[in-house]
Amino acid sequence: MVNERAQLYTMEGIAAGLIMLLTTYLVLGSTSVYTPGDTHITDMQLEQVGSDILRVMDTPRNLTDSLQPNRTDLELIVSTTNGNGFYWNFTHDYLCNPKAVAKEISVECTDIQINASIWYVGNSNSPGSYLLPNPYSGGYLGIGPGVRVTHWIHTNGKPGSASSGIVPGDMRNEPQEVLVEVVMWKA
Amino acid sequence: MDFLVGFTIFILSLIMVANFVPSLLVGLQRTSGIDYDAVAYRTGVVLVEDPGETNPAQQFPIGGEISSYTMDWRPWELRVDKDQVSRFGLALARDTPNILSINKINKFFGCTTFSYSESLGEGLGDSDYREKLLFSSYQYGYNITLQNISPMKPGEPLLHLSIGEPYPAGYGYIRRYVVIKQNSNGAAINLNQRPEFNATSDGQPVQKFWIHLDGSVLYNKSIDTPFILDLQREPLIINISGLHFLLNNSDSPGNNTSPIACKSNLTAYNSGQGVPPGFREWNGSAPTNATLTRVDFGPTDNPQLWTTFIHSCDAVELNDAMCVKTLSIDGNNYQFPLTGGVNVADMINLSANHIDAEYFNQGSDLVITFTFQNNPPQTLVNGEYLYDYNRTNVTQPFLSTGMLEVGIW
Repeated sequence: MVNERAQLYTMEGIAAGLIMLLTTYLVLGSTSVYTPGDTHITDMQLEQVGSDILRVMDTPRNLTDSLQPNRTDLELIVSTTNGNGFYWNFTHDYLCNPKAVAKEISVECTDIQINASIWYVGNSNSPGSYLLPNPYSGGYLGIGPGVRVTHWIHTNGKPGSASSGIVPGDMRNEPQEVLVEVVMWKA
Repeated sequence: MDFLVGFTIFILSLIMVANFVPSLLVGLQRTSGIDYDAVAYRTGVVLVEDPGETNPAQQFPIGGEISSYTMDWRPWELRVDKDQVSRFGLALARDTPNILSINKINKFFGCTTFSYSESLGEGLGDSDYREKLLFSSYQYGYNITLQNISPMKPGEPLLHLSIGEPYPAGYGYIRRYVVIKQNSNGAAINLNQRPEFNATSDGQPVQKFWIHLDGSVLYNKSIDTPFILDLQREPLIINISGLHFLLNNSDSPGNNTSPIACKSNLTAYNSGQGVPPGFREWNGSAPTNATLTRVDFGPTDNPQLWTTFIHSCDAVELNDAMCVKTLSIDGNNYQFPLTGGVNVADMINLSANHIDAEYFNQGSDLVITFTFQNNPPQTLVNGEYLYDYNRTNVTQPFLSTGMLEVGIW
């Protein structure tokens, strides 16, 4: 007596096996997008440090300063488009300051590069940006891990004519809030 | 036979899947089992972005009667009893993340005892940091370090404060950059350089000099939070010097021919020539001291109202208006209240820990009055000194930068 029941069992076995293998493959594939815990924390620490430094740079030091047009180091840097000053302030006064050596440095100070951009709303109500250039860091090419931190600051107008080659023409010359965006990455 | 093949394929696949499953969790596995970085991050946020918390319903007796209670809104760094603190936080206020208070820092790192005085004081211990900062039944190891980047005051060494144990091999870590609000150095009043306080006109009330604390000026909304002269939380310091320049020592005993060319109608006059109206007879030697008779505290319309609520910090009661840390006259310390007159050659230094918020707030208008004896040798001082945001009157608070590190294991 020959029938097809055993062949059906075989096909069921193969189908069940395939389903299980496919499921396992999908599950493994989906978990592999999680970054390992340590890498994630390092990025988070660098992000926190960058965010803190911007906040500290944007705090006036005394009452007299707080009442002046450029109240803070950061406002003064942006209003004068001083990219070199920003780099030195950010790295040497805070991140890698030799007077206050951190227990743990998530990125070696000699290797770190930073780039600051200023985002504004232009005459046509569309956002625009420009780079605060510094001679020590090239552009971030998006290769390798980098973190991005931002901070809103107040400016009293378009930065002066000395930096007219850097600041785009459609930036309004009036008091406004601009976004300072800093990208930090390991060279 | 077909069944056997099908069953075998099924079993083999099942075994393969069973082998895969444990490897799914490898990425989430940590050798320690605890994410110390997360605990360090949480602790850093509590310290840097939170001003701390006390129990506002804390009841304390008024005037020694246990049956009388009031609410206590003072911040944690001003509490006498550390058990009244429910959470440590170093931020100046809720709206000033990353801006820390030097008074909270000193209390937290144990630079000052928790109470106003050594005798009442009890320092913070390991269990306090665990209960009020780490919030865990797990016995974490911890190290919290604060370093200055810019000096607290020009020329001073950089601050380096630390609590906890040395770092072991493996630990969780976070670093935060902060600014630290320093206290004002208060009012340094050199009367030799402030002729406006020298009473030289006829009819001027002499022998009184008062410091005016106007709450509407000090707590004006236009002042950014970090730069407020916040006497509710920060020390009040008054240093008066140069008093001897205002003593009536132009009236030397050798000069007995005519009334002294002093414009005050209360000035001393040497005897022997008769005493003109408005002058007093004086046979004493050349004056070298003034005599401070009272220091009063109260609203402008009743300057002595709260004088009895000033105590020295050693004997402070919780509902006192002001606890005076130092009352120093020519370098010698005195206790409040002053009894009898005290000779003053040149300097008076008064520093109070803070003024209680019930007595001094935005609607307050207070004076601290120094009254000198109205007898020769007289102190020809008179006038109101404004404790305000004018830099020539009061040194302003400023911010220094620093770095806070938290290690947890």
